[in-house]
Amino acid sequence: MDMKPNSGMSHNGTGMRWQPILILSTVLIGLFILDLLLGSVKIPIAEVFNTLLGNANSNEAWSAIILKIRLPRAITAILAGAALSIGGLQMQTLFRNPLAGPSILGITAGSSLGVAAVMLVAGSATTAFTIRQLGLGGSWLIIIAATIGAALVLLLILGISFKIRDNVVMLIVGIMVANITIAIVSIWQYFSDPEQMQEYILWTFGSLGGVTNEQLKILSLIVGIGIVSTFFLSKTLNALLLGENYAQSMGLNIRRSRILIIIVTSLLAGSITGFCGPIGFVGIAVPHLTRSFLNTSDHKALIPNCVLIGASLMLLCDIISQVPGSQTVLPINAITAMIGSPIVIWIIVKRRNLKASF
Amino acid sequence: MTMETKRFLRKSPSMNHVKIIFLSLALLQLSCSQKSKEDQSNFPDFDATRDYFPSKVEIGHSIGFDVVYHKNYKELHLFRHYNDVVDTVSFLLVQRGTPPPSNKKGLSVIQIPAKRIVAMSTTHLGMFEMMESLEYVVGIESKQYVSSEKVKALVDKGEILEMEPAGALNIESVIAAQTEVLIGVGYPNSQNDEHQQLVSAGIPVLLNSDWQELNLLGRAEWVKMIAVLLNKEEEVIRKFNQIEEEFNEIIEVVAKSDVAKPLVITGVAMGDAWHVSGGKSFAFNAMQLAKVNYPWKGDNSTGSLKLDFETVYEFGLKADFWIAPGSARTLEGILERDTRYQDFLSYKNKAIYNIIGRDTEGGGNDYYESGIINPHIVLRDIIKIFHPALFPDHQLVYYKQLK
Amino acid sequence: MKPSSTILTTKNLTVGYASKQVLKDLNISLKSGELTCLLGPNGAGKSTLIRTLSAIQQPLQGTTQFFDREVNSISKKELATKLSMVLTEKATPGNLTAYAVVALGRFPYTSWLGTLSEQDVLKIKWAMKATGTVEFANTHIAELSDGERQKVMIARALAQDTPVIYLDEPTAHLDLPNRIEIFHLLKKLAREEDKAILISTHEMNMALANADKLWLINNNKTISKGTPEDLVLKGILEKAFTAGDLNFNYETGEFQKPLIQHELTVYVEGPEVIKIWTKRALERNGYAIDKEQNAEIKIQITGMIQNPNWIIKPQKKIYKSIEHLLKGLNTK
Repeated sequence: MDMKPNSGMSHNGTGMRWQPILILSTVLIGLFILDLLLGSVKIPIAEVFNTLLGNANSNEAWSAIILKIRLPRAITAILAGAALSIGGLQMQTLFRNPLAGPSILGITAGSSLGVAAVMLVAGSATTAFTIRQLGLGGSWLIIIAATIGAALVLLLILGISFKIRDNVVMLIVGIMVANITIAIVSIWQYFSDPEQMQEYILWTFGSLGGVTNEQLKILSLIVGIGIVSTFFLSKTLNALLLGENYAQSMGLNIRRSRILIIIVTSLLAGSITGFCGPIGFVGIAVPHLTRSFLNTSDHKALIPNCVLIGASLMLLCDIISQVPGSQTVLPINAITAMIGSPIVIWIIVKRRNLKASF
Repeated sequence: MTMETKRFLRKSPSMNHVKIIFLSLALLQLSCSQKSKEDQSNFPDFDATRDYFPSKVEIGHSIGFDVVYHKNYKELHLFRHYNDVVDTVSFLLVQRGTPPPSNKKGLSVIQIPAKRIVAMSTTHLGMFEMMESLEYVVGIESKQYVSSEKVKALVDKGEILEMEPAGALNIESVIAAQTEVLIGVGYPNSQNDEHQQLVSAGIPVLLNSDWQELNLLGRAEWVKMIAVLLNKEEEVIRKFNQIEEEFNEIIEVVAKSDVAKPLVITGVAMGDAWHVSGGKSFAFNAMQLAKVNYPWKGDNSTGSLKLDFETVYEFGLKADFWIAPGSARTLEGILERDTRYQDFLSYKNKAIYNIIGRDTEGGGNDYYESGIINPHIVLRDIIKIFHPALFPDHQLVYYKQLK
Repeated sequence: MKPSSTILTTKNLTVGYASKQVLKDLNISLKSGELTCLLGPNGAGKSTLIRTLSAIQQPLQGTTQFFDREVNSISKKELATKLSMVLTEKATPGNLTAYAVVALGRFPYTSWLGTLSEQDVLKIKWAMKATGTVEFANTHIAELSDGERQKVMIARALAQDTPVIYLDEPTAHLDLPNRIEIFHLLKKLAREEDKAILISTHEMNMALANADKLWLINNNKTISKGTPEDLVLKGILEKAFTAGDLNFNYETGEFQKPLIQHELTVYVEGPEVIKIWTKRALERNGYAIDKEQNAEIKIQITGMIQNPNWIIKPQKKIYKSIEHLLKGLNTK
C-alpha cells in the first residue's frame, strides 16, 4: 500500500517544507523594509534605498538616521523576535505547557534583579555616582548586570533540576524564583529616589532602539548560536513531544536534554533581556501561531518558521510603537502585549481543543 | 528637595497614631488657652486704627501666590493652576498681640512674625539666607542635600533639626520643636497624609510651589512669601528690586547686541523617548532671554515635550549647543549612554553644558538653593554659554561645561 | 518454528521504594516468541515492576539479566534498541499525524537531525501495516478514537524494532472489541516476529485467554509464574484474586459471588450450549445448580437451538423462553 503522508512530517523525513519558508521570508523582508521607511522624520523612499546601497546622501542627517537609528533597531527587532520565539517554543515543549514562555524559569526576573541592583542600589544617589565614576558606565553596565542576574538564576534552576525529576515541580520553582526577585526589586523601589525609580521603570518598558552597532555584533552572535543550537536540538525536542517517559524509553538522556534546553533558552532570553529589557508575550504567542500556521508539531519545521514569524511580528510591533506619522513613541512592551494577547485568545478559541494542536 | 518631592509623590502611611494624638492634645491645650486670650478685651495693646504693615510687597512675576494687606493681618493666597482653572488655598497671617478678623473664620491662622519655622526644601533655605533669617528656622528636611555651609553648621550645632533624615517625615519631632508653621513642597491643595496630621495638631502647612513658576524672576519672587511671614517687607523690597534691576540690565545687553542665534537642544534620550524642554517651559523661557534658536520654540507645553529619538537626533546632529543632558557629567558619560552622540556637533565642539557647577557630594545642588534667589547670576551663566563675548569677565557658577 | 530463547531472567528481585517493598523474591523470566501477562489488581505494583525491569527505577534487591547483562548496566541508548514500551498515559501531541508518531519510534536509529533513511521508512510502513493503522497515516492523533490511537502507539513501539516490548495496561481506556483486537495483535506479533512481549493488565479474562505465560501477583507480594491453565488448576489463581467471599467457577473460568435465594436446587439437562446459558440464568436468579439427578427441580431442554423448549419435569409445564421459565419457577 502506498502511503503519501503530507502533513506532520514529510515523506522523506526532513520535516521541512519550502513553501511556508518562502512566504514568510517575503513577509519578513517586506516588514523589514517598511520599518526602515517609516519613522517620525520623513525621509523619501529613494533616499532610504540610496543609503542602504551605500551611496552618499544629499542629506547627511538622513543617512545617519537610517544607518544609526533605524537599521540597528530593525535588526534588533528581528533578533529579539526570533530569539524569544524559539525560547518560548522550547519551554512549551519541555514542560508540555501551552502557557510557557521563555521567561517561565525566572531567567528574565533574574535579569531584572541584576539591573535593579545597579539602578536602585540601596536608594542612594551617592552610590550611583560612585559606580559611574568607576568608569563602568552606561549601557554596558546594565547589560553585564542583567547577564549576571540571569546567570545566577540559571545556576539555581540547573542545580535544582539535578535533584528534581518532575517537570511540574521545576515550573513551580521557576515561578517562585521569579516572584522572589520581583519582591526584592519592589523593596528596592520603595526606598529609592524618583529619578532612580523612573530609570528602572523605563527599563522595564523594554527598548529596541538602545542597541548600538557594536553591541549588535555581540547580540547577533549570541542569538545566532542560540538559534543554531536549537535547530540541533530538533530531534530531542520531537522526542519530548511524547512526554519524558516515552522519550526516555527511546534512549533520550532526559537529564542532559533538560539541561541543554534550559541553557539554550537562557542564552536566548537572557541576552535579549540584557540588551533590550524584558519583552513579553512574543515568546508565548509565536509558537502557537507557528503551529497553527503549519499544522504540525515537528520541530524541524517549527524552528525555522518560528524564527521568521517571530522576527516579523516583532518588526510589526516596532513599526506600531513608532506611531508612524507622529513624533511620539510607545513602549514596545505595551505593544507586544496588546498584539500578543489577542493572538493567543484567537488561537485558543479557534482551535477549541488546545490539546489537539499542542 | 528630592526627598521632599518623593514624599510628596508617595503618600506614606503613618505610625504611632497614639503618640501623635497625645502630643496634639497637649498642643491643643496650649493653643486653647491662647485662644481664650484672643477676645478683643484680651488685647490691651491693640490699636484698631493702626496700619501694622507700612511696607507692602507687590507680586509682579510669581503666579503661585499673592498677598493682600489689612490693618493688622495679611491674607496669603497660594494658587494651583490647572490649565485655566485656579485653586486657591488661603492663610491668615495675624500680627502677634492682635485679634484675628472675626469675619474670616475657617482659615488657618499663623501668628507673625513667625519665629519657629520648618522649611522642608533647599529652595526655601536660599530665601532665608538672603533675608538673613536662619535663626527662625528650627527644622529642615535633611542635611544631606544642603549646599549652604551656614545651614550645615547650624544643623551640626543642633540649632536646626533634621525632620526627615531617613525618608519619612518625623511628625513627632516637628511637634516637639514647637513649630509654628511648616513650609513644604507640593501643590497647595494636595491632601498628603503627613500634612493632614500636622494640621490636626495645630501646625499650619504652607505648600510652596515655586517650582511651578515659568520664569526666573517669578521663581525668585517667592522670597517675598518668606519675608511676609517674618514682617521683613522693607528689606525684601529693597533686595529684590536690586536683583530685578540687574536682571533687566542683563536682558538689555543681549537685546541690544547683534549676536547670531545658535541652535540648541535640551534633555537626553531615556529609552526610545527623548524629552526636551517645552516651548513655554521654565527652562526655555530662561534660554530664550539669551537669544537662541530652538526647534520647538513654537510648542505650547509648560513642562517637557515627549518626542522620539529620531526627531531630536536630527537636530542634535547639527545643534551648536546641548544643554542639560539629564544626569551626564562628562563627555565620557555622554558616550556611555549612547555612542551615537559622538556624531553631534556639540559633542565634537565640546559645547555641552549641564547644571552641575555647584552640586554637592551628598547629591544636592546649589542651583536649587542659592540659585533660586540669584536669577541674575543664572541668567548671566546662560548668556555666557551662548555668547561668551557679552560677559567676558563672568565665570560660570551654576552651569558647567562637560569635559 | 524457531526455538524460543530466554531474554530476561530475574534473580531474587525485590522492587519498591525506600519506604516500602512492593513485590519481592521474584524469579521470573521472559522468552522470545511468547506473550507474557503480568496479572494483578490495581495498586499491586505492576507499573513498579515494569519500571524496574526497564531500568527506569532501581531495584531494592536482586538482579535482572537482560540478554545476559544486568539491565542497569546497559546504556539507555543501547537499551532503546532492545526494548520499547507502550504506556497508559494519554499525553500525545494532537498535532502530529499517526505517521509522524510512528516515525518517532525510529529515534534510536536516525541521524542526529532525525532524518529518516529508506530503511527507517520501510520499518515505519511495516509497523503501520502490522497494526492496521495505515489508513490514518495522515490523520492527526487528536482526531483518532482511543482504540486507534493506542494502535498507533503500538505501531510506534514496533517501529522501534526491538526484540522485547513492554506494554503497561495498554487496554485500560478501551472498549471490549478494541481490547480483544489489541491482545490478538500482540499475540500475533509475539508469534510471527519472535518477540518477547510483556503486558501488564488487571483484566483477568484477557490474560487467561491470550497469555502464553502468566506472572500472577499473589496476596503476599510474590509472583507465581506458569501457563494460565496450570495456575488455574493448581488453585493459585483463585487464591490470588480472592478477597472476601468470591467463588471461582472452574468451568467458566470466572469469579462469582453467588446469591442463593432459594432453598430448592435445580438440575438441568439438554444440549450443551443451551444448558450452559440456562444454568447462568438460574444462578443469577439465586438457584443453586445440582449436579445430581435427584434435585428437587429438574429441567429438560428439548428442541433446536433456535427454538428450544424448557420443561419443568414433575409438572411437565412447557416454556418457550428463559424469561418465561424463570417466571414459572418463581411462582412455585
